[in-house]
Amino acid sequence: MAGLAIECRGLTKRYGAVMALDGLNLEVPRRVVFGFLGPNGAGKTTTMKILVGLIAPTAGEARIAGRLVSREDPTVRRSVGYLPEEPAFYGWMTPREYLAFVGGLVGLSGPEARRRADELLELVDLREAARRRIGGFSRGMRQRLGIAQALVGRPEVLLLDEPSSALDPLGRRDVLALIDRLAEETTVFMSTHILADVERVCQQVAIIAQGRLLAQAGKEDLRQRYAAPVFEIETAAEAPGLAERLCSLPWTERVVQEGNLLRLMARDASRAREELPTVLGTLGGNLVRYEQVLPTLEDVFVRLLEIQ
Amino acid sequence: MRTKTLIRKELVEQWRTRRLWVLCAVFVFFGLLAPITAKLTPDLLRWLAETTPGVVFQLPPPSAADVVSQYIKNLAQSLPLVVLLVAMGAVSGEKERGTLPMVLAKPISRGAFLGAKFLGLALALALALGLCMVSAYYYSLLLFNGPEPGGFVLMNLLAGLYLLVVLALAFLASTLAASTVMAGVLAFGLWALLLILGALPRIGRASPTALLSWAGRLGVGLPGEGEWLALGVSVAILGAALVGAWLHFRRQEL
Repeated sequence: MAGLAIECRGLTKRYGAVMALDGLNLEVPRRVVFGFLGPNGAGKTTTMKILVGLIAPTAGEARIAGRLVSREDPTVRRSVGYLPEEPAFYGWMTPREYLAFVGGLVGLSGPEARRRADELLELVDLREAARRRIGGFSRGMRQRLGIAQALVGRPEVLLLDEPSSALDPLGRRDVLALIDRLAEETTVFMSTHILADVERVCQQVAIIAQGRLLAQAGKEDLRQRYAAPVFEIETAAEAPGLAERLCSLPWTERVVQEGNLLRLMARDASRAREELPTVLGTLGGNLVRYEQVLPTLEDVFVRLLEIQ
Repeated sequence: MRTKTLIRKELVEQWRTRRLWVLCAVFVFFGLLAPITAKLTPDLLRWLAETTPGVVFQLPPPSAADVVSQYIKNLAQSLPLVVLLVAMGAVSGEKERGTLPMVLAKPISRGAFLGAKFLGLALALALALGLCMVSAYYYSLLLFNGPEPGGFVLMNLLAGLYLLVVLALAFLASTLAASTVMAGVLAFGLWALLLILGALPRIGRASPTALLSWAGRLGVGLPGEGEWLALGVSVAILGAALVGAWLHFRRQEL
């Protein structure tokens, strides 16, 4: 247990009649980028806030780097860097001043804090904006500064709440590249509902819904354990009635159609492999290709939510 | 180190956002207004009498006592409103802007955060009141030979304590309320309650407002019994407001 970066035991949070977290158990190993996945309102932000002591759990406990999280004891927060979903700064400060201010809060001396601020401005590519007021920053710049402020104290665990959800594609690419680089130094615990981000940077994943953990495993493990075998079928033109026909087959679990592309999730992969060519043979020249593909995290995610 | 960082940030913020400048300017304005009003009021009334047939004003020549009286009126009526405006957004403003979570996720206690905020405001108030006192005294010297300096300083210390009580109540309101507008309404309500209690016959003697009449007497060098009960109650209210703010804030979910 001492080797875990984050550990939650029976973490529960109730707001009146609403159960935001319902006995969440979670173990996050060190030095991984850990994706904390769930639909909106699943309890991701609540978990994050409990981990940094912004709110208290109704029941259960959480540990970070082996130390019990408590609102009253700020020392555990020395091990944590936190980026909220919508980072807000003092607009009158420059990013360098803000990072130096955070340096003082994590216990660095004045010169150390200023040095660390310069290092981090370089890391998040904000060096040229170092003397500008944060008030005029774009969303992407704020997000990068938010990650920088979380890193000032060289935390053992970095908690990022939806770090890329409100960014444009370029901003998202930059933030994900940054997260990728950070994995060498720290444990990144990142909540998101963007599955493509998880596919790209996370090694381990936990999926929660309605405050409960549905699954936790390595990305590949999760695919193998929870995803149904997937077949992709591409046609040259739309094939009317094909999706319905495939759906009616006894070994089909689900069919998703996106234009001329159909994704078939099979209950029985060997029967699907045997019988699918016969079914598709009726398409004649309209068939472009069909193949068995690796299930995506989205397949796992959707399947788990459906099971739940 | 961490508390020093927080206090420094509060002071720099007040400087950069020009809140300190505005606070000082308003206090100095009211400081200067007292001797000027005392000097010009008889002239204005005389002019009014001259232009209005049948009206005669008999006024004693203005003196330093009039300055003190006007000064105390300003401290009692106008400047508490300025203090309320400055303090009501101290914590609620940070809640509204969303700047609190990233700061409180750092290894600092909520008590240190609140303490630094209040200290920053109290230092700004002390500076503003100091400038107000100096400007009022300087102009009184120019226009009336000034009040007795020792009494004038003591008067300002007592008035400063009164304003500090108002500041603490506004700070409590700012901690309790979710928005600055709500904090403003609550702070104004608490101050109004203070004024109502101060106007009641018996309770008034124990209210912080009694400090102002004591301050006025000291300012003009009048002998008289000190309002020690009011002083004790003021300190108690100040302490209770700060402890209340801390007790609420330490459990507040952000």
